Order: sequence, then C-alpha cells, then structure tokens
Amino acid sequence: MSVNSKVLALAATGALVVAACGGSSGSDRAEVPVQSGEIPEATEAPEPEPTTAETDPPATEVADTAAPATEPEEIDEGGADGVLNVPDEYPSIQAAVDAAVPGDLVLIAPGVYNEAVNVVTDEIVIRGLEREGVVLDGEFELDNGIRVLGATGVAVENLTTQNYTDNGVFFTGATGYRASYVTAYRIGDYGIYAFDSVNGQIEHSYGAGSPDAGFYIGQCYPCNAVVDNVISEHNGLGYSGTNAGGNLIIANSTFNNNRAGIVPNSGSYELCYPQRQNLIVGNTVYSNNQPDTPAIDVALLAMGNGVVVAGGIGNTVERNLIYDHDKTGIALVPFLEEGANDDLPSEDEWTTECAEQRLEPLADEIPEQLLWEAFDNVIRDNDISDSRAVDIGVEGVGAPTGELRNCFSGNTAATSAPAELEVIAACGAEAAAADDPAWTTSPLNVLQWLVDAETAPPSVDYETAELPPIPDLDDMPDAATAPAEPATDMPRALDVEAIATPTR
Amino acid sequence: MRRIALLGVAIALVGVSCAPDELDTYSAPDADAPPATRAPLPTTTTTEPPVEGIDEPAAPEPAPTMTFAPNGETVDVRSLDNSFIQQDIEIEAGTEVNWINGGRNDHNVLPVDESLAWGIDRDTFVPGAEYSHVFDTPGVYPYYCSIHGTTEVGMIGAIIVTEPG
Repeated sequence: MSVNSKVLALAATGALVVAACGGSSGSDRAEVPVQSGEIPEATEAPEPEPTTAETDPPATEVADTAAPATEPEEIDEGGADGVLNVPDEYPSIQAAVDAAVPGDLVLIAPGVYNEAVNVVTDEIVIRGLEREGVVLDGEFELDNGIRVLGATGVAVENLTTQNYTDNGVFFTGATGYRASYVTAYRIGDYGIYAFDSVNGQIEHSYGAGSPDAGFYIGQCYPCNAVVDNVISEHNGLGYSGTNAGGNLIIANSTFNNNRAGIVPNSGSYELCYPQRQNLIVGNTVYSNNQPDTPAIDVALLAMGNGVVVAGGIGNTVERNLIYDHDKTGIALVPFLEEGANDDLPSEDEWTTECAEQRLEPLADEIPEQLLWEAFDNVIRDNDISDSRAVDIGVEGVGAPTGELRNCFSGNTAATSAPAELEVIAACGAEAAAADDPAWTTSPLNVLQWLVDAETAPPSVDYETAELPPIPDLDDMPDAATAPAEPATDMPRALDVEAIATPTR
Repeated sequence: MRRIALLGVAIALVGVSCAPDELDTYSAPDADAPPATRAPLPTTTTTEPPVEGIDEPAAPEPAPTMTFAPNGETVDVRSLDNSFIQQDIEIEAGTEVNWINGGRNDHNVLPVDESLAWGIDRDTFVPGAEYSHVFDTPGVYPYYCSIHGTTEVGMIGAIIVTEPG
C-alpha cells in the first residue's frame, strides 16, 4: 500500500492517525588512510603523505580552505597525537574516521565536504573547527552526513550537515552517543536521528527543513537519553519519537513553525512498542502551523498542534510554554495504525524492555489496523495559550476517554476538551467515573483531524522548500583545543527540578 | 502459509562448502548476541546463477548445482523501520520469501553477494510495497538494507535455505 493509499485508507476508516514518523571497520589505526563508505570518487585519491596543507590538497572538495586554527607544525604520522586533522593529514573525513582508534579526535577544518561518512569505530569524536564553516553537503545525492553503525560512544560536534537524502546525523544500534552543536539543514528524512540506540545526548543542535522530524529518537526502552537545548523549525515534525522512552528527557528546547511540534507515538512499524515515559519539560513550543514545509503524511495529520502524544503511555509534559496553534497546545489522542505488523501488547507487557521485546516473534494473526490509545500521561503546570481549538485536549476512540487514566493539573489554559478537564481528571485525585457526562462535554472531536488533513497544504519538496536562513548559532566552546570526550557517560545529568517554565 | 521457526540472531556455520548437503551445519540460536550485528556467515554458499556480465573469480571445480521447484510455500519477512523481522529465517529450497515493507520509510533488500540477481531497491520498496523471491537452491543468503545498515551491521538479515526433507 502506498503512502497515499494509506492516507486514503485512514480517511475511509474515520479514525485518527498521528505519528512520525552502512561501512568500514578498524579497531587499530591504519598506517595509511583507508578509503571506505559511500565517499565521492574524489576520496579515492592516492593515499596522502602526511605533510602540509600546501603540498597535499584535500581530495574531498573543500570550498573554503581556511587553515584550521590548530594547524600542526610537524606531523610524522597522522593521528599520532590522537588528533586526526582533515584535510591536512587525511584527505577526507571518512579516511580519518577509518584511521581513528578509540579515544581519537577527528578534527575537521572549515570547508565543504561532499561525503557520506560511516562510523564503526567505538569512542571517537568527530568535530568541526567551526560549526558554520565545516559543512558536510550531500548535494541531494548522498544519504547520510554521518552514520554511526553499532559503534559505542561516538560523539559528533560542531559542524553542519545539509542536503542529504536521508539523515544529517544518524546513530543506529549505538550504546552511548552524542551530537553537540550540530546543524542539520534541508534533509530528506530526519535531521538528527538516533534509532535503536541508548545512553545518548543531543544538545545545542539545530534542525530545519526535514519532512519527517528535525530530531528523532526511535525504538528504545529504556532510552536513557536527553535532548537538551535544541531548536527545531520548519520541519514536518519538530520532534518525533516512535516507541522511544524510559528516562528520555526533552528539555529546554524550542520547537516552532513546524507542521506539529513534539509528537511521541506508538506504532508497530518499529520494534519496542508502545511508546512510553518521556519527560517533556521546559520547552518553548509555538506556531506549529507552518503550511509550507516538507511534510510526511502524519505531519499533515498532526498539523496545528504543539505537543501531541499519539498513543503514548506514561509520559509527563510539564512546565512548557506553548502558544499559537491552530488546533491544540497539548493533545492526548489515539493513533490508528494502518498496515499493522503485530498485535497490540497487553497492559502487562508495557514494562517489557526493548532488549526482551525485540526477540519476541510477531503474532501469528496480524490485524490490519491497530488502535493505540494514550494512557497514564501527566500534563501539569504548562502555560498554554492562543490555541484555536482548545489549549488542552484528550480523547479516546477505542476506549472511553475517562478510562485512559490521564491527568491534568496546574496548567494555565483558557480552554480544554473536555471542558472541565482539570476537575474531572486532576492529578493525584480520583477521576470522574468513565460514564460521567463531563467526559463528553465539549469533546475534542479528533476525527475531524482526518478531514482537515485532506485539505491541509501539501508537502513541499525538501530540496526546494523555502526555509529561513540558518540562524546565528553558538559554536562549541574551544573547539580547537578541547580534548576529545567520547560519549561514554551519557546522558549528562540534568537538574530537572531546576527547570522553570519559559516565558515569552 | 507456513511460518518457519526463527533461527535466532547468531548463526555459526561450520562448513563453508558450496555443497548443498552441508547446509544443515548451523548452530542453535544465540539470543545474547547483539541483535543488529551479523554473526559469521559463509562468504558464499550460494549457487544461484550470477548476474550476467559479472566475472566470477577462478574457483575449484564447483559442486553440482541442485535446484528445487517452487513448493507453494511462502514465508513473510517484515521490513520494519529499521529491522527485518524475523532477521534470520530457515526455509526449504523452493520456498518463496515475501518481504513486506511495513515501515514508514523506504528500504531496500540487497544480497550481500552482489553477483546474485535478486533484491529490490528503495525506489520500488516504498512503505506498503512487497517483494518476493523463490529460493530454489540451498545455501545461505545474507542480505541487508543499505539505507539503514551495511552488509554486517544495522538492518540485516539472512535466508538459510536447506534441502527439502
């Protein structure tokens, strides 16, 4: 079934959908750079003699050849000091990555690098000397800027990825990962993407112009990950996190002018369902109604909402500033999954860790559809305003709304659906009976979203979508001199209690 | 449709001969192995015809190729985001394997042995698409999605084809 036909099927069933949605090896440093991965042919140039930049032009296209701030004086062997300079010592990022050993720093001078870098070596750090000046450019032909495959403890710092067909930075199967001061701009799927990876940190980063999500964490439980101080704008979704949770914190970040802001969801199209236990705190979420972004189908369905928990369980959304949305500031809604791959997990399976769940066989009989309801979420102390439908809404489709055990307290909000939400479902108090008429007073009417999606402004090609210019973003402090810090002890500690609700 | 038992994530092959009658020399599943990393598999045990135009390295006198007619059986493999489920399957020669892209992203299915002619690329294997291939020759056929893995890690799988019996 095509994506379009899936959308049509969704409309036909009249139910809600909101979801988001290779390498080399070498544990020992090679004496000479080894070429591998999906590198442009230029990187297959003769192996470089370690020498000066003047006599050894980089094989990779480097538009800006400004010398790195830490140009080595004498080099006997690239990386002998644990720092592998690109392009002075290695002609490409891939060559340096392949030569690196755990603990090494791949330090990249300003320039444009048309590479798709694969990383399979543990505990290396890949750093640009200038965030804006070190640009990995896929030219709409290469798939991922940097792809970390199963390697532990890899950190990517202080650089820009743009114009890739798939992802800017992609961690998959990684235990320990970090992306810091990374910009991902005009990317075909996700800006920064951590899949099937745990113990991670994404921080001080920027994502714009992806049809799916600027930032995405998928398939992990417990994830043990923090998204902190990121900006995500003009994407289909600001943040998406299918089946990701368990000590997963999204904090201190800004999600604006996407089709929809923060959208964790459940689905059997990835393993480790359902989605569980995110803490979304201290974020500024506004104006996620943007009509001219690239957008996958579910971004169209979720359009006009700030935070949408779609079939997620046990999430906490607190102390966020949320405003200016065509539909809701915060919504807890079901997710109807067409073309399911398994049956729904029973409630006693909600605590099953990913490592165990992934080994379980799929159901013998797989239903065509799954309806994931949003249970046990806590929505408190948020400042929500200027929502054209309601500031806070919750609705069940397959189960009565009053049986979903979500709670709402302390929010600054003018409207809600149901109308007396903080009365009938206050946190720490017994909720109104499921058959209480208050549950159906001024309902959210989430099925209308399907109708609205039919007429939503269509997706714009990510290659040509009008985007704001990359804003002036902070560089990593002391990029030229800071020692390598592999991502071996992630995530960083975060004082959640100290996080205050942002103000305009 | 008959579902075939999951072999598990790790398959330690004892023999690497092309002789079909040695293809049942796999160990039991190793559930402790990392789920997305390929355990050692034979470099090639396949005897399917190579793609036209691909030069094959000189090799000793090959064992006789033994192929089997389609048996009407089909086994589904779900291509989720970003895993093949089940990752490794064992089938009898003549069985059809049907890959279903049950994910939300494009994937591809590429045999590790590039000389083999089966597989599907991302332009065709979009969400909801299916692709089938009948494996008529015993052997081990590792494959991967190049978008979300390499031949050895990430989104990988293997078809272990045994003699009917």
